[in-house]
Amino acid sequence: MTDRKKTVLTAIINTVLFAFLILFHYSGADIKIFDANPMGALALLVAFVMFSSESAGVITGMIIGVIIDSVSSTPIGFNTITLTLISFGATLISHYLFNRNLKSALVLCLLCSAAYFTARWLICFAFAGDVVGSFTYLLRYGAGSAIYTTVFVIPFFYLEKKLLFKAR
Amino acid sequence: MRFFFKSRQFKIIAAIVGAVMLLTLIFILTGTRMAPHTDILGTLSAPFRSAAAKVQEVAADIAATYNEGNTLMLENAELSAKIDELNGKLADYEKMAAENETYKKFLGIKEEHKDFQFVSASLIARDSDDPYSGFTINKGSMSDIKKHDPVITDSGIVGYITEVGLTSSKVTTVLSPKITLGAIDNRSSDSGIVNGGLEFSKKGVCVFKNLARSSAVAIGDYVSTSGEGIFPAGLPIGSIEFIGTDNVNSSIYAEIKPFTDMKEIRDVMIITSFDGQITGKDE
Repeated sequence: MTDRKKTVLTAIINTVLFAFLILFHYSGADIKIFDANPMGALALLVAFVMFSSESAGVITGMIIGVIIDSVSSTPIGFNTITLTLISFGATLISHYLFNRNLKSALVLCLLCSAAYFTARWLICFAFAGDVVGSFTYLLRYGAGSAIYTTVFVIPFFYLEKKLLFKAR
Repeated sequence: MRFFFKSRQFKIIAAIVGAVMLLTLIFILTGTRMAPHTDILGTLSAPFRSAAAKVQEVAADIAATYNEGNTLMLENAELSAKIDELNGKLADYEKMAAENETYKKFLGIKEEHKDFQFVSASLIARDSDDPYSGFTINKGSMSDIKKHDPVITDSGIVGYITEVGLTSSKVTTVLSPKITLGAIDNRSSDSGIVNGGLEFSKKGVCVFKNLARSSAVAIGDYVSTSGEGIFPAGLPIGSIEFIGTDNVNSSIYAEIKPFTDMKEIRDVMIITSFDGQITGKDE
């Protein structure tokens, strides 16, 4: 298979995976454990930026953010800004500070999902007027979801390693 | 890392990302509408989201049918026991019939309010991360939907529109603390405000607050909108399930079970116009 065909195949597989994860998450279906709800698209994004180029990582984060903004109940632009910044940070950390191994992927995904759910708490819940509810969200929903999301980076790490690492 | 920051590629990417971020920020600060790029992607992806919602509905129906089969025998046994109990309740028939009549009046609310203009819509996306059961519908500004338009079902009030795109809109439900609406107890005429909270949302209820200790609200009372705020008067909200004392002040509160099950909503009606509606200019 030529490099061009590999690149196209990789792009198609990633697009389908991202689309599936976003549609699954926002179609009302969930795989919650207690109140923790994983964000599969974020785990895939982290695995993707670890093996993609810097620019591809940032652009992908931004596009995923814009798509999620069109279906999420968060305020206008929240996902666009948050996921762009997260993918930018993850790109730099993974390319210049971390090795590309599973441990790094787990740590990076935990950092990114913690950042995402903390930002979501700050923007959507911290000043919503329900003080007890806001901290309940942070500890029960946010922290749990961040840890649960991290688990999903394991299969995505191996998938992206297979798809992207050899192509680079 | 410094080579990456100095590269031409980084500058181009930074310019694109900066432009999108700036556009998003402008819409965050000024608009009630979705940002144009979000709107375009929302419009393009709408058919896929509708398809996903349909698939989800079919899957839920199959799962429900399977569960019904398993529970049928248990239910039969339970129902047999309940027949005896229900025989005893026949004495209360007259009272129940009266309550039923009241409930029917709620359902006929659309006929009572000739000034209402409705747009029907279907749910196309539900944010499973939102503990307040917010969702996205398949109608937007092209169907004359505006921010703050009330959203209802045949059973009662659901919430209001918080973001409007060209062909989709986002709905915040009455379970959210962001929503505050004037409400009145239909039997005792006690009035207060209704809003949500995380702990209440988990139970699927909202809270009827600021009720005086002397108020005569009772469990089972129907609560409807009083007409204060963005909702028209007379829309059914739900029935009172629990009455408690506020820990902060001397008032009491009541937990209201909305007539509409927010997790089961598939189709809604948006009231795009009614007498006394607060418009953008009024705000």
